[in-house]
Formats: sequence, C-alpha cells, structure tokens
Amino acid sequence: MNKLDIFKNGVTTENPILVQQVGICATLAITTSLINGIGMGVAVTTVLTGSNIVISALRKFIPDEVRIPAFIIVIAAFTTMIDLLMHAYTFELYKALGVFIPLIVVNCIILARAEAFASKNNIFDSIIDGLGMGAGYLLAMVLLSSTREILGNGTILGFRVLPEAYEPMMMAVQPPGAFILLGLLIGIVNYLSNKKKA
Amino acid sequence: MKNNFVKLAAVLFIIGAVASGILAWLNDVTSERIALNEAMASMDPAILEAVMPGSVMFNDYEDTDLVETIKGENEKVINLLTAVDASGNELGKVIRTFSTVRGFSGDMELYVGFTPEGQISGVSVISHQETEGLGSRTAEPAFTGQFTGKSGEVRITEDEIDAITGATMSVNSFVSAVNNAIDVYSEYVK
Repeated sequence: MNKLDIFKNGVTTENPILVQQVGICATLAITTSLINGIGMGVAVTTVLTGSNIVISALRKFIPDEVRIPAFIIVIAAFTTMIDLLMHAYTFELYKALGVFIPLIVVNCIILARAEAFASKNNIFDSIIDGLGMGAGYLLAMVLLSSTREILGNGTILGFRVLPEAYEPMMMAVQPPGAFILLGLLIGIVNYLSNKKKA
Repeated sequence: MKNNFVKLAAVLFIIGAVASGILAWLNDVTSERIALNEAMASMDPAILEAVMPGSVMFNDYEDTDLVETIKGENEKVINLLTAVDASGNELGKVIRTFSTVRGFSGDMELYVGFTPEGQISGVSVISHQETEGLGSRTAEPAFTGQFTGKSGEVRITEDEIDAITGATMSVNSFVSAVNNAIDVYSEYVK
C-alpha cells in the first residue's frame, strides 16, 4: 500500500466514526460544540499517532501472548500524558471534555489500530496510519459538532451565525439529537460513496 | 515454558516501568501549573464579584475546628470562606458546597455568599457537568441573579424562582446546593 492510500484509508474508506462506527460513545457525548469536537479530535489523533509509533517500534520486542496488555499500557500512558498536558495548558477545554479525556484509553479505534496496523507495519507507515485515522476521526467530529452547535445554539465557535430570533433546537445538543444527527451524517456519507461506486 | 513465562512478565514489567517513569516526570512538570489553574478557576475575579460584590479575595475560615465539624456532618460542604475587599475588610461569609440533589449528570459545585445582615449576596457556579445549552444556563447571571437578596436563613422553595424550560434536574440540583449552604449558614455561621 502506498503512503497516500494509508492516509486516505483512515479518512474515507475506513473512517473510524462514519464507516467503522467505533468509539462513538465519546463522540455522541462531547460534540455539543465545535471547540469540544476539535479538542477531542486533536487529543485522539495525538494519542493514536503516539501509541502507533511506540507500538510499531516495539513490535518485535513485545511477545504475542502479552501484546494486548502491553498495548493498553502504552495507550494509557499516552492518554494520561494528554490528560496532564491539557489540564495544565488548555484548562477551559479540559473542563469541557471532562471524563472523556481519560476514557480515550478505552476508545476502541486506538487499540484496533495498534492490533491491526501498528503491530504489523514499520514506524513510518504507522505514523501515517495514525494521522490518517486521526484526521478521519477529527473530520467526523467537526461535521457533527458544528451541526449540533449551529442547530442547538445558533452559534459556531461561540460566534452567532443564526439571528437572535432563531429558537435553538434543544434536541440537537441532547443525546437523542446526537444519535439522530450522526445517523443522518452516516446516511449522507453512504449515499455519496454508493453514488461514487455506481 | 517456565523461561517463557519469566520473559513475558519481564517484558510487561519493563514497559510498565518505563511508562510510569515518563508519567511521574510529566506529572512533576505539570503539577504546579495544574494547581495554579484550579486555584485560578475558583478565584476568578468575575466569580468573586458575582458572589460578593466588591470582594477581591476569599480567605479560609480562621476557625478550622468549626469547618471540620461542619464537613464531618455535611459531606457536601467543601469549605467556609470569608470574603474580603481590597483593603482587607470583611464583607461577609461564603460557603463552597456541592448540591445535595444530583443534577442531570453529577453534582454542581457552588459558591453561596452571605452578607453580615444574613441575606444572600450572590451565588455562582464553580463547576458543573450539565448539558451545554440547557442545564448550563443555570450558571448564567439571568438565573443565578434570582437568589441575590433572599434570606440566608430560610430554605428556598422551587416555586420561588423562575426555572429553565427543559432543565428541571439542573435547576433542582442548583437549588439544593443553595439550600445546603443556607442550612449550614443558619445553623453554624450567623
């Protein structure tokens, strides 16, 4: 597989949220505003790429029998690092994302990439895979969170885009709205990809 | 077989040890800043002004035994504080407490200020996990302002305040925190 294909695979063909639909718990919970979506997307991309690098580098050192606990330690270490750094340097965002930062540890996309890709490929390809999957995750987060913020609050990144007269659609920022909008988003993506194939 | 077992354990041990080492170092580097962030967040000038107009600082209570007694009996209370102005004059008491009724997701954390006359000088949210756009509106002045001027010795009932449509649980949680502060104030402080 050439490098560009590895990257594109994460963004489109195997997009973690829109196609694979893994780890959507945090996705549904925190995408109430665009800034949260971007913050979470960047945090996941960082942990994913970091753990891909380390796991790929250690792939010959880690015996097969203990690979899952070894991967989890690496992922947990990166997640805790992000948690500490965000707590220290992006305090507002840290408060907004709350418990979902430590929960990145159990986000299946990260363990899935460690198991399916990083443990079988060289470091450089693993970096591209991590960035590609991260970009796919970030893209889905941005689409979902901006839609929810516009519909549910009439703003984007805190700036008003819809007139004051607009009555915010409360459901958009509540959990049921998250499910419905994610479903619609996936529907649109499927429609577009089927059309492309035909 | 036995050798293999030792090897597996050794590999995991090494990975765990290296990871712990890195995290311990990073924790050391960031801990000071994190503590500062937390302190700043609860001592934001805008919050101080909202809770007790004119105050520049909330000091810990001098009577630490009393604070311990209260905390022992009321596990939701975090601290008792004294609000002071720029020249160090005491303006009133402030109680920092969690809500006693759970909100939509978890407890809310509030400052409730009391004037020397026993009225509520202001209420402000320090932290909450309520839904953005719904429960989060309990943290806005339009809602918190309703408590200013109420008596600090009588529990507030829900029909005394204008609730927020769609955020009943958050409102109930918020009121429970204010009432918890009122209980403590009327029993121990006034």
